[in-house]
Amino acid sequence: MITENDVKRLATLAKLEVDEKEMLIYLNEMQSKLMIDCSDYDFADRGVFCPLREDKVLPSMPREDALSNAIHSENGFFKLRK
Amino acid sequence: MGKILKLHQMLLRKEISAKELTESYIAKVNNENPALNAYVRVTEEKALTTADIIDRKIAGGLTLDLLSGIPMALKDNISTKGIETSCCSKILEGYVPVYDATTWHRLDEKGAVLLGKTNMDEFAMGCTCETSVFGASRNPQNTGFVAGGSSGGSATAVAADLALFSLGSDTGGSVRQPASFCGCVGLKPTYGAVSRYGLIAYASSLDTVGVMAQNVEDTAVVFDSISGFDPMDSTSQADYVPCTVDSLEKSIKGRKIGVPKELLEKADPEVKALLLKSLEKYENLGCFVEFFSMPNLITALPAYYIIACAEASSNLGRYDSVRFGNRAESFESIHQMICKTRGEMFGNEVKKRIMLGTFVLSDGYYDKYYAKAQRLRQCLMAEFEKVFAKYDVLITPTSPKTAFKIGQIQNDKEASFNADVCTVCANLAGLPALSLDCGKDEKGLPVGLQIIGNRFRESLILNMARQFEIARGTESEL
Amino acid sequence: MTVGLETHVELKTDTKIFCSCSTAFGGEANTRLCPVCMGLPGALPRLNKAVVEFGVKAGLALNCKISEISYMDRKNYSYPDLPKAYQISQFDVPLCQDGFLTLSSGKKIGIARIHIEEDAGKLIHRDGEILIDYNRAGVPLIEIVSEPHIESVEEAKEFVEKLRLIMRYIGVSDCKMQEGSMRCDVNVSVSETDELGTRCEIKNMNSIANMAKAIEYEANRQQELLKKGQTVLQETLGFDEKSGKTYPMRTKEDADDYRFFREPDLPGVHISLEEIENIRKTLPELFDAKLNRYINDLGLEKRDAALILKYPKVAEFFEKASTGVKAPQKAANLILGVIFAFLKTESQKEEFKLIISPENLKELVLMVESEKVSNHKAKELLEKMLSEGEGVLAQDIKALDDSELDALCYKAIEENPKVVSDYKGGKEKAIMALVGAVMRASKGRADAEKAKAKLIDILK
Repeated sequence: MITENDVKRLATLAKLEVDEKEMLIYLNEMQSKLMIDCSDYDFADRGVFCPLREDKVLPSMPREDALSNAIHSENGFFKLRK
Repeated sequence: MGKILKLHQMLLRKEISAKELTESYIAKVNNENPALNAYVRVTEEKALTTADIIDRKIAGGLTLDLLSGIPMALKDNISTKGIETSCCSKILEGYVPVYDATTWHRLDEKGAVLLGKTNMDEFAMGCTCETSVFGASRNPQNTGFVAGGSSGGSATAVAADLALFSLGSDTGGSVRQPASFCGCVGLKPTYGAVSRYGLIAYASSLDTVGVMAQNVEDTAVVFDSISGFDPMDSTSQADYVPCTVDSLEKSIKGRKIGVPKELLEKADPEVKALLLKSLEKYENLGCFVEFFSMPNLITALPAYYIIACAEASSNLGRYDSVRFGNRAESFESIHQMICKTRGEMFGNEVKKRIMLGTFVLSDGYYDKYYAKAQRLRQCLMAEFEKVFAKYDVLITPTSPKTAFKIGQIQNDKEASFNADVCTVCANLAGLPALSLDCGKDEKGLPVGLQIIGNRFRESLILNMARQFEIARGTESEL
Repeated sequence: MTVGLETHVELKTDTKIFCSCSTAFGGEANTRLCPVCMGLPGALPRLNKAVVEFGVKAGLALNCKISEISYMDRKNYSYPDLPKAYQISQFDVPLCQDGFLTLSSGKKIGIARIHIEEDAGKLIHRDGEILIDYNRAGVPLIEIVSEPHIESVEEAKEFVEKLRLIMRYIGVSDCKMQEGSMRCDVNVSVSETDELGTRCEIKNMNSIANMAKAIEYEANRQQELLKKGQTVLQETLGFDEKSGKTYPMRTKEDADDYRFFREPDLPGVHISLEEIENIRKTLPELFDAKLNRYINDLGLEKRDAALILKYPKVAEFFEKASTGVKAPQKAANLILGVIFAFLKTESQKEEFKLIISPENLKELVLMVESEKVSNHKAKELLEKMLSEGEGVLAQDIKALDDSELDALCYKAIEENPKVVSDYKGGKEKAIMALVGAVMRASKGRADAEKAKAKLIDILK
């Protein structure tokens, strides 16, 4: 059973303001629906590995682009009011 | 012949200009979109500019790509440089990407004409398109019914001929299911066949960019144009250069079709009946149909939810208004700003999935849920290897039901949870799958037939679909 | 006490770990960004080959086992300097494991693991505001985690200093703690028994000196608590330089649950045994090997060897200057005695920018060895060369000391009595034979006119 404290903790981790009562019901419903029975299985790696990129500098994007969607910026920095 | 090739030839022969073609579609969109809500953003100016360029190319006798001048749409989670891309969420209202998604870039380079961005369930989470901040898209067959989701807007646009084709995204069925609800073709590619770079992520190991078009040949043409290795996507397959158009007309005599009983059983009677009829058509074409059992296809559903929500909870962590996106009005600390912003700007479905995802990854629950789900996924993939050693393709209903009424599913948790039961297995196993129309139910709503193939077997799937399309006859074609 | 260290080292690759933006230091805020390192929606990571290679180098230099297959994982937490709200790191299958670093006492400090990960951006706190620069976001890091084998402040200092040098010698990082290219978190616990006590983590040590003070303070603090019969709480601490005390850092609302899971955007990292071998072959001489060679093969005093090796550029200079000389210690002496007096500050010694070359120093050493110049003279010459350049060698060596000239003249007179008596008997030209003798004896360095004048003077 998921408790109210669990919901609070999850909401804090997710940085999300939620309707705690609603979430409590929802999560408890889902937690039983999502029980899976799966025995252990030995898996070999599929043999697909991460492609590796050459260490070559390419142009970065212009600063205006980086800041173009920011709500507040100043002198080229992103700005947050505490 | 598909529409795209036809139009391409008409453009070359100057029977119609790109401008005329584009204008006619824009007029249609302006006329019909208000009732259908397929588009959330119409890019008229850009469309006409592109059309103009294409016309000048034609006048100059330059070679024209198949897709040049062809009016199309993009789901609103595909990044378009300089054009707002919002995932139909309040939190990305006003967000303008500074780069193009690879798939869009490839189409743009070929001169495709972007008519606009289409409606979707918020952050691609949903199966009816009703969680969009812009409201639901309507089913063109009957506007009292949903278009399906999450690529509902794309399905409506294509099915109502407000675009020749659209790119959507398919994470658990989001291209195939709306295609089946609206009666057009929807292709989910093999995971890795089409670049995800620029697709705003929902669940990274499940997301694919899919194609929606009015017929199989058009689908093949578009797929060939957008697929293939992209160095910007580390999960994209090297050496894959498909040319599915070439295989469309091959004979399918002798092909072995497997039908998983469990999924057939899940279907409503009308859907099941039409599917069985379709299988008869395949037999008449010389295919062998065999029913078999694969119980893990049902267990796939909770595994899908767990993995999708887990990855989503991580992918959506970045929406905090610090670098981009919308922000709440009042707050007393940065922590509160973030919590409030996300609380207010994310819709309910998104918040639920984030919470669920956070839960299944959290300390003490990871092994019970996430680790198990991944193990099941591996089991499923191993099983599919065996299945495809026996069968060329699998055929199932795309959806157990036809389109829901607007507002129906909000109160039907079971239907909502099970809506994707036929489609999620392809996402979990990274397999290609296509949905095409196989008939109508009593309400006149389309029923989709799903063809699933082994990895990178898009050519075969499209071939099987094309032959069915011919056998089915053109009266169902749009 | 027991100390464990987690050291983050910034790798000096040209590009970031997951994108091709430059890692160059400095640069205006937010000018080294792209959709990937900014974490824009839809962007995807691409792993830098050099980061894997540097990670392997670090692992080999620390005697680790290199994993042929390792995995990237997401570490999820929210902070304004972290663009994606997760850091791509390695959790349960890191690149390197089970290595060690040997202290001068011979004691081996275990290296539990080394993994690759990305750095976050930089926050600047102002009154009521935070400014953010993401240039550093995505810069590649290796995290080196030691086993809790360190048992004193001295060992901790030596460990960090040696680790720093090892990393610098293999060329993977500049390891400048003041610049942040090397950061340490320290875990400290105390215990009377064989069992480990509760440990506290002191974060963000910005210098070895501060780290030493912090460990000292913390060990004492814990000791005092235990003496009073109290328990030590497991806490995350900061260190206040001014007061010299550790303090509990503001705990976040909840202990962080990082919800690690496999990074779906990056398949497993594969490096073959062959590739690992090839990297091993490209490794320069490792620190310990150098130290041994300096002491055992080159005959350097232990202290002198350590001092030279403290600065990689000095070591490089020394090695070039001492190849082919009989007594490298002489080169060492000149460097440590003269050059180090000339380059007074630590950063000058680090940079080791001189107007003379190692070959110039070698020439000087050879001259001392062949007794062309005395040790004393060599020191003088070197001092001059440091300001005036190698030209000094060319001019100055020709000229002899007056005293040296005197000595050679007297010697010539002593060795040639017949010529002397000839001269004294009126044969003026005989003096030239003596001049010749002096010239030969001085191997041409004597000034002929001066010699002649001196000889005449003596024979008066």
